[in-house]
Amino acid sequence: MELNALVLLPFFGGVAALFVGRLARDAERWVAIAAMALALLVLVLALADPSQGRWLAISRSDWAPALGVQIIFAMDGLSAALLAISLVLGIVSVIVSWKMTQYSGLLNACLCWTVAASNGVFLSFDLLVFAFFWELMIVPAFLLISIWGHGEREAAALKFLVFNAVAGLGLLAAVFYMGSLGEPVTFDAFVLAKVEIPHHVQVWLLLGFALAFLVKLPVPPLHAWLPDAHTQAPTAGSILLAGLLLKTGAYGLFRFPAMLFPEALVTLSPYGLALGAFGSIYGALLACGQTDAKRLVAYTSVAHMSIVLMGIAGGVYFSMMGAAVEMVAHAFSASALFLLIGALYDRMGTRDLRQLGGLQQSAPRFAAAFALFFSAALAMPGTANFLGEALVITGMFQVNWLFASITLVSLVISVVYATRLFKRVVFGKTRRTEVVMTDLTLREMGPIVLLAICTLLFGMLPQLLMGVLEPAVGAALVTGR
Amino acid sequence: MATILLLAPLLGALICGFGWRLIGERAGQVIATALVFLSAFLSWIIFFSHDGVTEHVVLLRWIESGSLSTDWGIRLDRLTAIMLVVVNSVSALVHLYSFGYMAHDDNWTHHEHYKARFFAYLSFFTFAMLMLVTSDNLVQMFFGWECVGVASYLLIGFYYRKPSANAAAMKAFVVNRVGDFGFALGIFALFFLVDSIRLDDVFAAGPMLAETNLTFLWTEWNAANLIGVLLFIGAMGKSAQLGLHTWLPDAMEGPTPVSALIHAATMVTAGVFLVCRMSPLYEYAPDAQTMIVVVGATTAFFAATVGLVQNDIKRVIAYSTCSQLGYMFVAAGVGVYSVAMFHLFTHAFFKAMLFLGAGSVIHAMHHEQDMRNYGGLRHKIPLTFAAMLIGTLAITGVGIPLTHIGFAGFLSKDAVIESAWVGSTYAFWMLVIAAFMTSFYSWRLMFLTFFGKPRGDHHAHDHAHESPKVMLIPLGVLALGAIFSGMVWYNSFFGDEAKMRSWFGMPAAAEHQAEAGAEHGAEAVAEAPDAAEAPAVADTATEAPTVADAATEAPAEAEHHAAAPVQGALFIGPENHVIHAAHEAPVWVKVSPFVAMVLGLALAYQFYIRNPSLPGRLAANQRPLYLFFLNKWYFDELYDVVFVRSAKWLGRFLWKRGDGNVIDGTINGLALGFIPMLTRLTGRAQSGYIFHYAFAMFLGIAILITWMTLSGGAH
Repeated sequence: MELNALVLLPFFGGVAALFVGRLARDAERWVAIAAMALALLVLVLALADPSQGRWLAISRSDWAPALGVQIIFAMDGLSAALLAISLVLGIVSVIVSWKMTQYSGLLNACLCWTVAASNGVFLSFDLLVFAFFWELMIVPAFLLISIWGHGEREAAALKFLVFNAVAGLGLLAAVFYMGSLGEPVTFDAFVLAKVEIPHHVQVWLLLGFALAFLVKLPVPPLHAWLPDAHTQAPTAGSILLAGLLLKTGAYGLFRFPAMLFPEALVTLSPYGLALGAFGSIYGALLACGQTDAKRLVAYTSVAHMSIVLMGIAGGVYFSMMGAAVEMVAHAFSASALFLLIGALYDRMGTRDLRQLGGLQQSAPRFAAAFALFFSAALAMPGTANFLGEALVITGMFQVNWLFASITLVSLVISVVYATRLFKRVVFGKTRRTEVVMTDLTLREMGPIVLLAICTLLFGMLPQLLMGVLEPAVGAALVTGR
Repeated sequence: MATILLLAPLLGALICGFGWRLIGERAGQVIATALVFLSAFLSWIIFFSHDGVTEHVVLLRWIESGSLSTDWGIRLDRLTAIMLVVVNSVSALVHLYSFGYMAHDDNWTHHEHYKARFFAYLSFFTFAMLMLVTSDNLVQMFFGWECVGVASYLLIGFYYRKPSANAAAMKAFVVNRVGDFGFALGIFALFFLVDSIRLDDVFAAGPMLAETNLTFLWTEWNAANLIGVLLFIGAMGKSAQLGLHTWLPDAMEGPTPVSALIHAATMVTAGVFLVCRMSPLYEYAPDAQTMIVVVGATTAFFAATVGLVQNDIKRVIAYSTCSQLGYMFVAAGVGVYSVAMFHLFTHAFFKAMLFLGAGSVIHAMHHEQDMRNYGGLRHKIPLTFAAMLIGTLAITGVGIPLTHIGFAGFLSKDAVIESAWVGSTYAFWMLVIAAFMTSFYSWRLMFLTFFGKPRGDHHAHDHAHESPKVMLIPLGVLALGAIFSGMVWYNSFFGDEAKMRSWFGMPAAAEHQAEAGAEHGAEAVAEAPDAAEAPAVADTATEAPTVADAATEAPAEAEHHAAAPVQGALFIGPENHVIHAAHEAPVWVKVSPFVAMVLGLALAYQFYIRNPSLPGRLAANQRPLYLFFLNKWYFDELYDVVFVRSAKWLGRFLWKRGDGNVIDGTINGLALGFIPMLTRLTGRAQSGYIFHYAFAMFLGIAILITWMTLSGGAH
């Protein structure tokens, strides 16, 4: 039951946020925070429950039994880690959009609903329910971009919607077909995992799943929606996009292909490796060519999530563990960078690298935080990102030397874009004198410090994280190969 | 004690970096400096009390994943002890010196705070460097390796408003990352083959690696050589060897104390340290050793030629550093690791002193760095002159030939050259020629700066003043090192092989073996506790082919080898008699560097004191050669065309054409053309409001679910 609460609390929190706005000042924000904090508490309590084995909690309830649709929520270490990230980033996103007053009830509702839907994705093991949450997730994110975005927000939102909805069709079709394979009809992933499926059918089904996941991840050439969506989304939207939505793609790839289509996965994983290797270089190179700070960070997400794809496609212990760690690490570092760039944009009114500069003196706290998270983006040892990428590369060495070397090349390129960003924003002369860059406020420092602690803590003492992820990684291996 | 030593600078960096607003800028600086002095004091205690036996201190578990197991730990042996002394002593003195040097800076206005930040960076760098040198495993070493890179980046870019400093910082970081690419590949390859990254396990696996072949880039490689080369590429990046050297001269954009600490005495020597640390591997990697010798010797020669014609006082010293690092690599490459460490040790003192001395000159001359505007300064700043003179005597290698009495550089550089004579004729001649040029450019620097008539801005010369005491005391301390460090430790590093072996904690048996020469194999096998299982002590790949062959089949069997760890801080293979042969070098070899030094001095005297118009005429006569040297062999221009521009172009091209036209165009064309058409046809619901689309979609999902629920219930 506590698992249902993880979805329902943020959902109803969002509904409440719609209406409480006029009761008291900032009431909708406090309601949203309270709902997600409560869910976080539930999660912590569920984790504290000393249960043995891989599953920390499972709950089943019927929904449409004749159709074989149940609500099956199950949580292992990987889900728990991602749920925690989702709730924390949900709270962070409410905090960073504190000053946004336009339709603030709906805004906070959308933030809550994004969190609720992605929590559903991280928990569902009934494929139809999974697909339902998968599609549901798009709606609030779409609204976030189209209503509160910058610049050409409507085009960006539409692009986001079209890409993800179309790709979702692949998932939906595959899920419906999967349902018919059960006897009687069922969408229970645990049951379907035991069904023998002919190899060529598996390949088609896996392609359907992978289409949805790879677009969300995203990996080039399916990434075209991401730079626009990230650039035009409000800060809170970017945080949730980078921290949550991209992770649902990685989560799906991590979880379901190995569980449902192990043979097809063996056939297709070389293509996944190649795609990931291409994406890691492509994303990094494009990041080097950007002049918009936010777009630059968006492309780094493409590069890093491509490395996650390589780790998953690699399929050996180290690469899978690395992919799982990198998912968590990237959620922290990317959302922190978006938060910082959002803060920058609020003050300076521009994200153009050619017009920024010299923030070291006027905003030392900002500069320090920027330095930390740009170190994380280039996988500096001591950050969780380093651990994730190093483990992926370690695994790659067992799979293919060439791919390992390519990943390392992308890390070399990462220095170019990171130092370029740093040089243009923090170093250099102050180019715009008419606006003064004030340092981060206390409200901005709170989330930043939290994210910094997570990045460094899991980098320095990764056992805390890897111990939690271990069973999920092991399971993805055992069923996979 | 080692733990306190390691963490004190970190604490200092944190207090100074984050706490200075609370305790005041001055207090932050004082605390950071005091903590580094504490570290330096403890380092000397360890240095003198260390008995050569390797100690391990585990601080925390770090990564525990499958077969990968790593701690945050300290490995304390002679090599670490030497590096601790070098790093902490120079760092402490540079902290002190910075009180004076950074007191007033034209790059900032009066109300701006920058000193606490500077000291925090310095302390952070010290901590990172300590992590590097104390590491017990390769991942922690990589941590330190990258963190010193960040610290170096921040400090080179300290005057961040100067575009040149900004660009130099970025260049240093990027070029270093290219080297790190090799280093990381080497670490991964080692883990792949040895299944451990703990140094003890890696050392024990040396013989096994020598017998293993692996395929990389479609070619068969010998594992030991391949890994040796990859690690050396990392070392080349950090230590600015030919090809990856371009960042070091530009790094002089940083404040001078930074140049003294990072780009002369400590960080740039990390590459040499790495090669010495990995001696148990390199002893089995002859091809990698050859590469090290060739690259080192060529760098020593190349950098010296460029140093001849530079006019910026700091750049002359920077190229001299680059050149001296080449000397160290040659020593390590021919297999005399202790001599590489010897030169590293003495070089740290005299080079840090030359930089701090140069800083003092620059300080006196109001941040003028061009030597053409100096001249006759020995009367204005006599103490600085004395210090620089000692540094020059040390770097050029002044001493009494065929004795062990002389300045630090005399003993260590001659040891390098004698070792090179044994190992490689090419390297020997390169180094002797480089020694001649070293002498020339060092004396050129001295003559241009301190002798002759004042040139350039009169105002600057009139106001030239001696530096404050906080800047002169570090110079004095380093001067002691520059004079005596060679003579005091000559026997420990090079002079007396038995003493050197016990000092580095190497087994006496191996020494006996090395002297016994031909009879090596049998004894070693007899000494091994379990000869069949552990050929590592036998360390004669030729003697134990069967076991090593078996290891080739299954790299995972490396655990067996771990049973017999390599003793001591360095490892010298039984076939390696270079140090012995170097002692027996003929007299002409031993005096050749001295002769080169005297010739260089004489030529510099002729050029810059007796006939100052000569250099100009020579430059005019030999213009192409002069320009070739002045433009640093055109490395920067070449790299700019080949890498920088092409990468920029590629990034932009991919964005505009690849991402913009091809991917976006295709998919958008499809999507944005097709879907609105569809909506128009079906529902005529196109109201123009995005919101409505979303609502329609939400509704659709709701209807779908309702239908499923209902039909399920009806069934």
